[in-house]
Amino acid sequence: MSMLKNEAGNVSLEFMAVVVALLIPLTFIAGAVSSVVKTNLAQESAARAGARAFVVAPTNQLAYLHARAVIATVLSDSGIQSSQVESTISCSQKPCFMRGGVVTVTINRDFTVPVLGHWLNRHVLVTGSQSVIINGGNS
Amino acid sequence: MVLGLGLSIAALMVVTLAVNISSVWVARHTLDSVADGCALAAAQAVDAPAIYRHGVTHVVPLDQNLARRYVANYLAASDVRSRFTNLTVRSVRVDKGRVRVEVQALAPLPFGYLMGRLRPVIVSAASAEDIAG
Repeated sequence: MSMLKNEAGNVSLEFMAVVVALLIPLTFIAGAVSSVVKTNLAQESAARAGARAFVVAPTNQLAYLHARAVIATVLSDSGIQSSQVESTISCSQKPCFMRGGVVTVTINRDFTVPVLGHWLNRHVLVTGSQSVIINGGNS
Repeated sequence: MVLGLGLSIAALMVVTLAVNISSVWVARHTLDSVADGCALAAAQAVDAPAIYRHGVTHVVPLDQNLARRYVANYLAASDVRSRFTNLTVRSVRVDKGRVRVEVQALAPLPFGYLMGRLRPVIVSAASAEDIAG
């Protein structure tokens, strides 16, 4: 208590110290978190749309084409190029279009998080995936 | 010193809250995808005996028990359970040709240890309908 009574600091100096030491790094961290969240949401949406496009396609070959086109479109809506991601379409059965088969679309991105400008870039693997069952479950 | 300490604590609380909310938001979005997949699987549980009895109408009738089984098959076949803690199906409700699936999971919180046992549950629902023609 006596320590608080005798407190005689320089408010502006303390404020500057707090801003430099704490608030500026926190601002960068908040920006980094928001960019990771944004790319994650975009990839999840693209994976979902791609998987749905895959299962409603008429043929196996068209399914891959449709899914990749839809993934590219959804990603580009969020400002992500197809070349920046690695998208894989995997099936639980061969050929894919079999009753009860599960199609999984996974989109990975080696995302560079700008923590402090370009000085301290960090690489984060962001993944979005969606699985859709084809023509009913195993009955 | 008091000002610096107070501001530091406030800033850390804000960041903790922001990270936790972001994490819950992302998990909720992922759970939406899971609910969507469950609903799409359940919508294929066609009630064949009902079609034989009443014929094919615009709305395809669905079987409640079969829909539940399709949802269970979907969750078993896909790898979604590994992405959540305590992922469970709350309900699978069939109303004529429409199925509504509700799923829930524990929210992942990076700073969850600060909340003790109060770990929020996120719930997501999706509906699907099979239409003939």
